[in-house]
Amino acid sequence: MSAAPLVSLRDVSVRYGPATPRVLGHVTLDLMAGDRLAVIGESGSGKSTLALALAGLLPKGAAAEGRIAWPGLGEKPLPGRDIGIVYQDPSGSLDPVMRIGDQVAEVVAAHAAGPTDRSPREQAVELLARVELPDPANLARSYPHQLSGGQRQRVALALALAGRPRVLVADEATSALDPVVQSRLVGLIGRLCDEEGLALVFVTHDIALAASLASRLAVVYAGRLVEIGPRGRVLAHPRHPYTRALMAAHLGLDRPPGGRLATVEGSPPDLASPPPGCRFAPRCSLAVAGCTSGDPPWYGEPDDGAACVFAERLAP
Amino acid sequence: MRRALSLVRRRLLGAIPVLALVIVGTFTLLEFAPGDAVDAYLGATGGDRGLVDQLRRDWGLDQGPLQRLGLYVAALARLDLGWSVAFSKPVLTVILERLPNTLLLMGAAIALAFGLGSLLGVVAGSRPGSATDRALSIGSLALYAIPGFWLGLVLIIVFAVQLRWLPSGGIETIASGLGGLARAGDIARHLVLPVSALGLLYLALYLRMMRTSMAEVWRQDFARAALARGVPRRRVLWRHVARNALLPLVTMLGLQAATMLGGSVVIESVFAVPGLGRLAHEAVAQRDTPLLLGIILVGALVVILVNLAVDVAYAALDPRVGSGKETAA
Amino acid sequence: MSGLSRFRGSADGIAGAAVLALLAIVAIAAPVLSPGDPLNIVGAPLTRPFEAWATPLGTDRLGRDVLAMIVHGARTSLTVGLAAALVAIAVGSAVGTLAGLMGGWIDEALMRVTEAFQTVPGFLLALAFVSTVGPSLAAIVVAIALGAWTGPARLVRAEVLSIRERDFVASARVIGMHPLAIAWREVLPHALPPVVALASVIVAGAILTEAALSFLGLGDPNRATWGGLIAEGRSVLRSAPFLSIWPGLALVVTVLGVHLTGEGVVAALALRRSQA
Repeated sequence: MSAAPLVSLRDVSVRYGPATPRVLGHVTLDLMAGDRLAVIGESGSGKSTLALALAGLLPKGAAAEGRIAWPGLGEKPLPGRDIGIVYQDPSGSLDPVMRIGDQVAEVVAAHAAGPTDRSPREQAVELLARVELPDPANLARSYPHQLSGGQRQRVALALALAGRPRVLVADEATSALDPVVQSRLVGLIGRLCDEEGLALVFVTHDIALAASLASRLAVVYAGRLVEIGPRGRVLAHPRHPYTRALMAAHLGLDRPPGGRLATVEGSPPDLASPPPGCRFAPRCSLAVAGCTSGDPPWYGEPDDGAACVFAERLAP
Repeated sequence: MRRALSLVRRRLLGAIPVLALVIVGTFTLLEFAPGDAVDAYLGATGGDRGLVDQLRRDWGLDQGPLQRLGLYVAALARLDLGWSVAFSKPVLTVILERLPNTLLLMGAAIALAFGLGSLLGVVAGSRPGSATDRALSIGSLALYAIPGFWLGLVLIIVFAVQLRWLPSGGIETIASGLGGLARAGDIARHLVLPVSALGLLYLALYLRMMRTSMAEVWRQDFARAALARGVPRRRVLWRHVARNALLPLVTMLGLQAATMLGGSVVIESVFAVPGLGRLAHEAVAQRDTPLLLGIILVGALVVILVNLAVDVAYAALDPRVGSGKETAA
Repeated sequence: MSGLSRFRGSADGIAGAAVLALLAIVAIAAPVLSPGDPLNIVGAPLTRPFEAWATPLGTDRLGRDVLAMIVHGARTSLTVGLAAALVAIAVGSAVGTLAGLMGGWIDEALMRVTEAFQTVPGFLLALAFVSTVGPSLAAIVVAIALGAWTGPARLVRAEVLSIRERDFVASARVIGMHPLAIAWREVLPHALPPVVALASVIVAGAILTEAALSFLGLGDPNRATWGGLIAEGRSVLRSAPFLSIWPGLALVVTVLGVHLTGEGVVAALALRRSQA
């Protein structure tokens, strides 16, 4: 791809407040138009911070080092207009005392470029139809508490699309939903991105879900980007032991029958005092003495590689 | 609408035992007070021993306490609150003459406290920690410590005695011959000082509550999400944050109704406003127990009705109240 | 003691505690600071403030020393305020604990009574009570407590309801502790912190109610009260406003001190309230 990336991160680190540990360190990443990038990581891995950094929505107290740029968008994105975001909690992100239609119309009106032939209210109903909510005209008059969790998240999706953005960031947007509703919503997100030509950043802890939707996978561990690459390559030939462990956990070899979400053995490190060298080393089955001295080298291209001394040997 | 109606029905049913307890309470106080209704009645009109016994029998006062309570309740059901010695009139008549003034005073004070208080609370809570916020915080804390009746006296000294801008008491100019709008204006001028004296403390209360409430709503996801969606900050402030922050204040309004009615006793006495509160003071001064207890009863009724109105208002403001998981109609 | 250090860290709390300590000293030392009955006539009537050395804040219509009456008024104000709040909190905590622990019809009945008391304007109730019983210090304390116990009662009940489901209460029940012993030793200590935070509001309210009662002439006639002083000055408001202003200022400073101390207590208990 030769066009300028929509978002470009170069060696970006983020901390919340002066005396707090870095929640994200030295991340380099490009998001191109039409990209479908999944960011995969455990909770506390910094994946949500990465999503906020991409969207230019880091909170006021956060300090970012490195360079975050939006060359494909012109300048720093206006919230909602250039980048739409859907949060994890479908009930928390909606105003409980305002009608659904008014909430959507409000965002439409906030981004209206000039006079249009249709009122924000009418456009709101259309948006609700686009996210495949039943009887949108009627639903526009209801309040959030009258909707199911899945319906609410569709409304949140409509709200994210209301400003006609070019990038959609879904931060664990489907995690709080049950599997059937989740897979329907994921399908909808995929279709909408195709139809609108939206670039997608899909943040999740679920590598299987990520694989079903994204064309590129980025794996984050303890604040570091440990692997990134096209979906096919990463799934077929993961180069980082952590990615392999995530996949093994999901392929279900050690999953108890009918069991719940599988996880990688051990727990992620405390970011306040990370282990020396590779942060995954304490949990890594391949770790050798050298892993704990100095950051692991990046093997491969910036958009297709991994941060591990064994990456070359794990490569096909 | 159906939601509001069923709410009203539920609240009214809930008020019955409460009102019954209040009635038993006033009856008990009446029993303990020296003298009975016959003494009160004859104290005003005069009469001999025979008449006293006759009346006691006629009114059932020679019976046991339970029967007397029954008679008391039966009388209340006929809207008979007893006889006021001090005014030589039925208690209810006296009360109804005074009630409108108190309602006017209370209504205006609530409007001032709630309206201006929540508005200033929004101003303070829109940028927590700013100079405006700190000034309003300190000001409201000081105001919150000022007794209303003393504030009333200070207001009289400044605005009635020194500046001579406003009348120092009464509800309207006596025998002014004014009518219509001119009379309303005259009453409004008389109400400025008492309403301020009664309302400013609550204004401080609502300001502080609104500020706290705003800070809590700002921390909620939907406020942050609205900003992330590009809704202008000013609009998020008013339509989302302030609107949601207002809800606990409305609840508080109902709780404060009783306190405010109590406060109006002193304020009405300071400003010589002929209302229910001053009537209570007069009843105490003249040892007119039936009148005082009638005022308590009517006061409780007013509080119940104000709470009912507050509940209905709350239901209108918060669609989540009293609704199950029904879909939009 | 992290609670104490948190209190010390609260500027409001320090200022409030300083004010209250000063007032307490004045109240306790009143007989030393201004010996004799403050209601005695000591000078010419209506001496203006700062005119005579013996009566620095002036005299009232009868020639009584305003400063002496304010100093002795502090005694009345603080005594009644604290006593009424103590009674209200004790009664309220008892009712709330009982309702919360017993549940069932006892809870229902107690809550209806609480609601009835909340429905009657507390000040009217106090007025009725004092006028029936007669104005004495004890009557005034009870009258104020009558209207103030409902707040702590509801608060304690809510706390008890959430506490009684917790493990340590259940285990106390299992080992066969007497319900009253459970209430006293296991439940109340956990339910009290929020009530302590409410105490400042109740004390301030009690002080203001006492002042209002004595302003209306229902105070103890044998004691100097700030409310009574303000009422006394009312009839000469135009010529000698200072008579009403001094005791009023004393009231404002006292109530402000109570509120500020309350903020400090809230900070010390690390409870969530106003300061964000």
